[in-house]
Amino acid sequence: MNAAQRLIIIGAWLAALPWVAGCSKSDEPSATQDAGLPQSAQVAALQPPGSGFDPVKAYDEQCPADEDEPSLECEWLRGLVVADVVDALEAIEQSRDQRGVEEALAALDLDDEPEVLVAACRVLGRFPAAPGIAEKVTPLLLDSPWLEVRRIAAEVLGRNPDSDLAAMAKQWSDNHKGLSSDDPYDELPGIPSDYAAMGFPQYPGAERFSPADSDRSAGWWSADAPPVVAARLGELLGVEVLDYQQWIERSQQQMMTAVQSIDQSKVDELQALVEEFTKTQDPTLLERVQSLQTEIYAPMQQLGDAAEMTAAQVATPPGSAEPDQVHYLIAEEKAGHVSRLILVYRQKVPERTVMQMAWDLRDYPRAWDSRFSQ
Amino acid sequence: MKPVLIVAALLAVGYLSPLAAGTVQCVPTQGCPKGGKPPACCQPPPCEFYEQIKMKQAVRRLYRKASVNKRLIRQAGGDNSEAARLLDEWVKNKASNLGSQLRCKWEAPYGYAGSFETKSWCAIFRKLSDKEQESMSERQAHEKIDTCAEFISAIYVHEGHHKQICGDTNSTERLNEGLTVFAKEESDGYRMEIASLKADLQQYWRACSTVADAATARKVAAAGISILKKKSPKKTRKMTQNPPATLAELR
Repeated sequence: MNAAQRLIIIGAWLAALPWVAGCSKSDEPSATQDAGLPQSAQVAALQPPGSGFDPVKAYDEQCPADEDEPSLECEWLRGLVVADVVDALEAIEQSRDQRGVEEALAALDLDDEPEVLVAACRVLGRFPAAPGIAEKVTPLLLDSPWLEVRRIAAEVLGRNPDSDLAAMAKQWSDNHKGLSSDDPYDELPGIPSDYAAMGFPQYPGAERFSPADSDRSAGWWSADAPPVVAARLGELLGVEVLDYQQWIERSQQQMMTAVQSIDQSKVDELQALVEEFTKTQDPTLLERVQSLQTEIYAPMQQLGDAAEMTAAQVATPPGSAEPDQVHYLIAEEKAGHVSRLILVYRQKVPERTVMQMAWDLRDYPRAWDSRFSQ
Repeated sequence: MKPVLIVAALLAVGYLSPLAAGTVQCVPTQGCPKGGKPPACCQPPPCEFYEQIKMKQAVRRLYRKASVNKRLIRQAGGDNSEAARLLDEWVKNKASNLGSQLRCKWEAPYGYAGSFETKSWCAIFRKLSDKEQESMSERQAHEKIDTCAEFISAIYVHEGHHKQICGDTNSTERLNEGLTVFAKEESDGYRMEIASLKADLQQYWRACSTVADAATARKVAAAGISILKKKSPKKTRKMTQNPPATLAELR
């Protein structure tokens, strides 16, 4: 089975919001069947009949609390309980019973069990406006070691009624497009190994801020105000701090340079050829017309191709950072383009100043291992 | 250094029936015809089907837990390959000694499917006893084993994963694989196997319009969450250690 087929199966499974645990022997009608429920309303029983083995009880009786390094048997018993909880949360999700939000929120305290966290977030995703979600899901988005947990936390928060919070979640999702895993135990890639050698300045007391991480940027935050942070970084780099208007003007200037690099004599020749073709309809002229077009627009084409690789192609919080609150520092230029860029802006929730250290993919490698890319 | 065996240890006990009749479909994929009703149609899957999924979920978690890896590497004196062998051995031993931890009978027609393994030359074998095993195709497995057809299909999805990696990797590399690589490969195999079984269930729910019992599910979730919290190791993450109590506090 190839990766695509697996994804189809897993995707279909998730799409169906799985779960059921009705069990029966073929010759033993289930309680549901005895109740004569119509086919459209068959209800699956959760607890299967059998030996009476209860993993919760066994785990409680056999394993001490708060062990730093539990025995394999205790890990095994805990795994059986985790499987029960995951299946139960999936059942709640499938039932669309909003009362299940209570259990889903409680499950978010189990921050060392990624399968439980993912299942709980799926329940909460059904009711994104329910009280208490933002307080418990935001720490997961910002601090969980698990990639899938963060991804689904961003999905849940992206639909939160608080627009600032939703904007931060959307920034995380936009910056992590193409980064996914079908294994909830896969960890989020950390800061890239090449980052230290890139020479970005270290802001005193700065901490990591993952919504600003992307395949070409690393996010940091500070409690200092944006102008203070920008000025300090400017000093550390020995460069001028650009405001939004200056940055836009600079980008437009680059565009103009590309346009101006077009050879005017070729433009004139092209125009003359087109006029001649209009009069004569001579097909032999077309080859030269096409050749000239390619030559004339090559600089624009190159600019377009490069746009996908630029440091500026990182997502900032939509609607959250006002243009006059964004500061730009060009840390490095190469061959006429910005090779390393620092964006400094205010994040409203949680309130902090973000430093997004970004780099051009023509000059520096992608932040993420290809195994994570879709 | 001993080679790491790539084994899909099916966590159930049982015996090999000498009069095998082959696999049976355990999960209905068609709804009831007009006027029909269970148990003549839309018969719920047997207890063993759900047990199989839960056991595989638990063993998969075991392969992926960092605390398990840490313990085994220490136990192996830092030898990563030896740690892989210890985990493989523990899982196989657990598979054959589940006993009282089973919630179903595991008897024909829903018997134990057996233990399967992908050899270093990339062939899939089924274990018959401690000393005997035989090469087995998926078709042969369906013909010979009294179990759910869905189990066999899922097992071959799992073993197919090992077979693919086996084909892409040379035998020396595989012999030297340490715990991290071994555990990830096994875990991925189980993940695919679980996905296959859950895809079968999904078909059943759709065909038979089955809905979950939310009230019971909430009770099961609450009991499980409570005990997991009680036994959780000390927290180390800063934000989850002191989560904000209110949205205002987040700001």
